Amino acid sequence: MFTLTRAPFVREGATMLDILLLALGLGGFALMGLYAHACDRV
Amino acid sequence: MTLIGWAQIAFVLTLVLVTAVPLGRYIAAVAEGRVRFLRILETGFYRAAGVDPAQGMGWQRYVLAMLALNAAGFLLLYALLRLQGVLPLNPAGLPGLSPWLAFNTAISFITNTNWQAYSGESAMSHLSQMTGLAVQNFLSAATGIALALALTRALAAGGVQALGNFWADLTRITLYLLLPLALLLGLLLVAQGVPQTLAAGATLEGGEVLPLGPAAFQVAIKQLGTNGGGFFGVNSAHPFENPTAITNLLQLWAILAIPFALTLTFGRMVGDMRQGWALFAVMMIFVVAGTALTYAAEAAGNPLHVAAGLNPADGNMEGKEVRHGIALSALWAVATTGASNGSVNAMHDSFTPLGGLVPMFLIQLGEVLPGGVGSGLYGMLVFVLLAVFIAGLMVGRTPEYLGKKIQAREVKLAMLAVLVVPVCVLGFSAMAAVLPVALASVQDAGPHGLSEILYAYSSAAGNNGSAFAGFGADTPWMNTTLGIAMLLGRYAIIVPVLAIAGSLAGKPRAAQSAGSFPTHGPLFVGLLCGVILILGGLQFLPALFLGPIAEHFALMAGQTF
Repeated sequence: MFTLTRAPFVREGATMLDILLLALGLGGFALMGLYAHACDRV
Repeated sequence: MTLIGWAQIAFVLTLVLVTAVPLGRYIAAVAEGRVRFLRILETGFYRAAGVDPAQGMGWQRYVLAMLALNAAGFLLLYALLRLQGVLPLNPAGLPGLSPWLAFNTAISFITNTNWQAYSGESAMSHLSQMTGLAVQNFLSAATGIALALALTRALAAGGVQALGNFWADLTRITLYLLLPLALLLGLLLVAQGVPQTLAAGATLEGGEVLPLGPAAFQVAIKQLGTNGGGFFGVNSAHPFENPTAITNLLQLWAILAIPFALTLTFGRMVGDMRQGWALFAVMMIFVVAGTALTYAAEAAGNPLHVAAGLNPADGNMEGKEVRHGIALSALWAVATTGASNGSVNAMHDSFTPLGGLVPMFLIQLGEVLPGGVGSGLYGMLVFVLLAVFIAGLMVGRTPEYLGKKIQAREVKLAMLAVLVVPVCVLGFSAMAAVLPVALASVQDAGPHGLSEILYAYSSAAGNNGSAFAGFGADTPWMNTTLGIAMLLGRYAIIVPVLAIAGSLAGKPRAAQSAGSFPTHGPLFVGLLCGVILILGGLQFLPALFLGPIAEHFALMAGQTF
């Protein structure tokens, strides 16, 4: 059995870092979506 | 070099050649929806996802669907890696990965790179291996092949908008190509002794635990999908991951089989097999030449070893497995870097400077020789457009390829695609060569240290995933910058390539005339080889002179780093 209190993001207190890195990764994909839009106008 | 060494290399490459013909034909049948032996499963997926496989997508919809799938994959894999410590199927009780390492690894596997800043046996739970990394190995490979098929359809058709349906392509490639081949190869690997178990490991007499796990099928797809990420830290040099001469042969074939076969799929789909064979020839020329150079450098050995009393006939065996030998280690190094695979059966860091230069240069040439599954073909077609454009400039005719006029828009988009890798590699390497936060990761001095930096960013931006050892990659700086390089090296190339596909699909396909520049003969093969070499040389030769070439001359003078 396990509980979420044992989850690493709680134990390490790294929630903000997780959010920043996820934003960096997902932001990269969003940027690629915009890049596709820009490529359409080349 | 020995005759038996060359015979081994020739045997592997002949096997790739022989199997490419039926495999290329089969992939074309899968792409055209003619293979349906799992149609109940296939249609079930479409119904569950609400997808109409017959509905074509324009290039923007196609690329957005691909980005959506990959973004979701990144999110899920990141969460899985962070939470593996509290999830089941973790018999060794391994904790979750750090945020930096989870970020790097998630991007690494969705981009088909499989750069690993960890050792699988001491960092990954079975759940992460099976439902995270292996799943992305299938999906990233299927994504690459789907994109190559979309570009092929654009060249084959005339005056259309749709490039196919991304979801249908992804499902068919996974169900009918990757899964059956991985199942077959996985069973063969199990028969040869590669472990496939849910046990944490075997306890030895002294109480030490030898890590085990569900390795065989992970190894099968890592090679077939040109992913390359090892179940164990030292990858296919590990005696469990690649225990025998037969597993070595099977894995070498698996690295090269689909990328080469896809050229013949291309020829079949555009209705002119000679076009496919021309691309096949260019790829094979580089693989054979690269193998010859690496084999020669490694067989010549290290003069300092000879001076220390070792037998010069043994060549450079440092970092190599005796069961694989120099010839097949050289072929593997070339295959894994030419094919954007990244698995290793020997340590590239221990190669001689010139032996290590060849794999690095093959990555820097754009991962098109033969390149990753799908990514090799669409990358090669970008070079083809540039070669056709240059030929058109030389003879004063409007360039065309397969009856489609190549105009300013396609050439601009091709250049956007081609420039991504050098910008990422040279930009990030330049930063790493001066910033203390990055230099702390480099464990060797002088030109060898620069080679380690160059190799790391080339591997990331080229979506290769192999590494020179002697490089501490699991730091916040390295995990982040290498992650960004992998992301750009994958998607900042795919977007303009799909834009080219969209542009070409709408153009009519004119009949070939006496004025058309033939793109299937030896002249074009030579031109294409020259374009690839000159572009790569212009971009990377100065950096290579400061790294492996300087190290070679230093070694000749008796200095090591």
